[in-house]
Amino acid sequence: MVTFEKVTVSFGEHVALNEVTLSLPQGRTIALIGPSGCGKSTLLRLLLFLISPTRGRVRVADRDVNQGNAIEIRRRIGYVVQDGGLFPHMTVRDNVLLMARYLGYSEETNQARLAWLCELTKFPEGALARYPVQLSGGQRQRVSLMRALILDPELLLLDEPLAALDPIVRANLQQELRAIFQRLQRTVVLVTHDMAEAAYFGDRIVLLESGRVVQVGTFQALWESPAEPFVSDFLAAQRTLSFL
Amino acid sequence: MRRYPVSLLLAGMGLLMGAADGRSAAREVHIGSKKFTESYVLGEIARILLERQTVDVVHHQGMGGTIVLWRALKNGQIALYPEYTGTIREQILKESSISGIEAIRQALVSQGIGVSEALGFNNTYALVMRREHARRLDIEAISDLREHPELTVGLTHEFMNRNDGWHPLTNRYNLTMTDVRTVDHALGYTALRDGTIDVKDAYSTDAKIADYNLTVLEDDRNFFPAYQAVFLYRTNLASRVKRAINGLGGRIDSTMMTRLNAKAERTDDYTEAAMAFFGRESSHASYAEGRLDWVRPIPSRTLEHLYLVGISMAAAVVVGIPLGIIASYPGWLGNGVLGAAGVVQTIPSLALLAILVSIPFLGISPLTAILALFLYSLLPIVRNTASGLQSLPRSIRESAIALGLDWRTRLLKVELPMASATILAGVKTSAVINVGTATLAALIGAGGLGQPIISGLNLNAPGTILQGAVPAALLAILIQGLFVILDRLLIPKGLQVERMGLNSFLENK
Repeated sequence: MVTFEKVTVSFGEHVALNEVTLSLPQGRTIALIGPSGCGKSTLLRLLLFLISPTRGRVRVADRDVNQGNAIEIRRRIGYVVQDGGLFPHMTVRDNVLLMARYLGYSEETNQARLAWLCELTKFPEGALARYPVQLSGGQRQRVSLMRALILDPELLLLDEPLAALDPIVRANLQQELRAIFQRLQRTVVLVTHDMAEAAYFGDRIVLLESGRVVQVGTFQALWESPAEPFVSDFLAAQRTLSFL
Repeated sequence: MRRYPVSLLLAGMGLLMGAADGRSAAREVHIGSKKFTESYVLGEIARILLERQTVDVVHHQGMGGTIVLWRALKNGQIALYPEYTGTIREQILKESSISGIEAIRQALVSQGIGVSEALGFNNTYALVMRREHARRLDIEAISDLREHPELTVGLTHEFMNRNDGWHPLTNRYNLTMTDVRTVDHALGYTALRDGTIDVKDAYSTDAKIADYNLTVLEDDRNFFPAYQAVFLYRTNLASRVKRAINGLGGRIDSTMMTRLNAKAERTDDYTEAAMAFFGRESSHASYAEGRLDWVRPIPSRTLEHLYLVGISMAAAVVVGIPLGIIASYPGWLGNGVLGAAGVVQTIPSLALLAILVSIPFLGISPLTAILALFLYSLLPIVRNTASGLQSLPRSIRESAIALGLDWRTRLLKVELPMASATILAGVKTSAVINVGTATLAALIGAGGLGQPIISGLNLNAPGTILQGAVPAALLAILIQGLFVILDRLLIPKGLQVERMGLNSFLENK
C-alpha cells in the first residue's frame, strides 16, 4: 500500500535520503527509528507531499504522490506532530471538526464521530469548548490524534508524538496509543528516536542511518542478527542510556 | 470563528468617512491664498465679498507658495487668488522686461487667466533691521550693509531662491555677508526681534515692522521691482464674479493693508481682519461671532481630518494586506513589494506631497493628500502582514497543509486569523503615523487640523497652533484606545492568552 522506490531527497549538497526502497505492510504499526538527521521524518513528509522526491517514486494506495493528487491523498492520511500542531485560535471542537465541516459532512454525523473519538482517546467531552492553550500537553496530543482520525484515514503518521511529554504522562499515553492502534486496525507509521518505544509499538522496526535503510525487522531480529555493526552500536547506546 | 476580521474594521472606517463627507462638488468658486498673513486676509476679503453676492465660495487658506497656487489656478482647482505684479513677472512669466499691469494682462490672457485692477497698494520686498541696531551701526540704506559683512541674515525660502531675491540683490549691492540662513517668515520676525538674526527680508506692508520697532532699509539702487497687489482669476469665471473682484480695484491702500495685517496678527483671526475692510459696523457684528468661531472650527476640522485619515487608511488596509500576503512568500516578487513600500516610506512626507502635486491630474486637492497618506500608511501594514504570516510556527503551517486544505482556505481560516494580532499592530502604527502626517494636508489646501497649525506658525500665535495640535494629539491617543477595543474584537479568543488568564490555564492543567 505504501512504497518508496529508489527515493533520493537532497537539499543542495545535503542528501537527506539516498536511494531508499521500502514497502510498508498494510494494517500494521511500523516504527521508523535512527539518530537525528537520519531521514526518518523526511519519509513521512514525502507521503504528504510536504516535500517532493529529487529522484524515485513515492506511492500511496497504488498511486504516485504528486502535485496533482496531493490534496486528495492528504485527506486519506492522518498526521500528528510532536507539538500537536493544533490551531490556537480554534476550540478543540473546531480543530477536530475542521476538515469534516470543510468537506460538508452533516453536523449529525460529525457530532457522532466526535463522541466516538472522545471515547477512543479518553478525551473529556466537557473540554471540547476549550482552546489549545488551556490544555495540558497530553490532552493536546489526544486532540491532535482526534483531528487526524476525523476523516477515518487509511494511514496514520505520527512524528515523535510523545517526545515532548513528561515521563509519567508519556508512559500512560504509550499504553493507550497501543490499544488505540489495535482497535483501529490501520496502517500506522510512527517516528521515534527511542528504541524502547519502537520495540513497544512496532510490529516492524525500520532502522535508518544517514539517509539509508540499515535494517528492517522485528526488535528481536535486530537484536539477534544485526545486519551490520551500526545496528548493535545503536542498540547498545540506547541500552546504556536507559540504565543511566 | 470569525471569517473576515478586517471587514469589521473597514465598516468602522466607512462610518467615519460618511460622517465627514460634507463637501459637495457643486459650482463653488474656490479661492486660494498663499502662506502668509496678507494673502490670507485678501483671500478672506474676496470670500466675504462674493458670499455677500450669494456666490458659493470656498477659501483654501495658505496653500503654499507661488508655484503651487499658480499651478492650481491653471488646473482649475482654484478660480482666483491674490498675487503681486512683481511675482507674476519674475516667477510666472520669467520675463523681466515686461512692466505694467496692462503688459502682464496681455501676456496671461492667452493662458485663460485674467488680472484684476490693482488693489491699490505696492507690497514690495524690503530688507529690515531693528531700528536701534541700524542707528547704532549707522545703516540707513541697503548699500550701507556693505560695511558690515559680520551681520547675520535670515531669509525666507522663497526670497532666497527668487530671481529678484537674495543672490541678484547681493550682486547689485556687492554684499559679502557669509552667515545667511533660511527661516520661516513669521518665526524670522521673532528671531530678528530677539537678536538671533540682524537683517531679514520683509514685505513693506508687514504689520510686524511697526509692532517690533523695525526700520526698512532704503533701496538706494532701485533693485526691488514694483509689487502691485492684484487678483489673478480664470477668465471663464461668471462675469458677475469678475465684476465683483474688479470692484476692489484701488480700494485697499498701503495704510489700510498694514492696518488689516496688524489686526489679523493681533486677533489671530483673518476673517475679523477682512471684515474690518468692509467697515466698522460689520466688523463689530463679526466680533462676537468671531469669538465663537474660534472654537467652532475645531469639530469641523477634526471631521475633515478624520475624512483624510479614514479614506487613506481604508485604502491602505484593502491594498496593504493583499500586498503583505504576496510579500510573505519567498522570491523576487515578495522582496520587490516590501522593497517598494520601504522606499516610499523613506521619502520625506513634504517631498512626497510635492512630487504628487506636480502630477497634472492630481494637483492641489484632498485627493492628493489622501494618496500621499495612503502611500505612507502602506508599509507598516504590508510589513506586519508579511512578518505575521512568516512567523507562524512551521508545525502549524504544515499541519494545515497535511490536513488537505487548499491554499485559500488555509490563508483565510488559519494563517490570517493567527497573524491577526501582528497585522492589527501594523494597522495601528499606520493610523497613528497617518493622523500626524495628515496635518501636512493643509499645505495643499486639503484642510484638516493642520490648517490652524500652519496659520498659527504663520502668525507666530501659539494659541492657534494648539487649536490644531491638541486635537491632533488627542486623536492619536484616541486611536490607540480604539485599537485596544479592536484587538479584543478581532483577534481570535484562543490567541489572547493574557486575557484568558493564568488561573483558567492552571485549573485546566
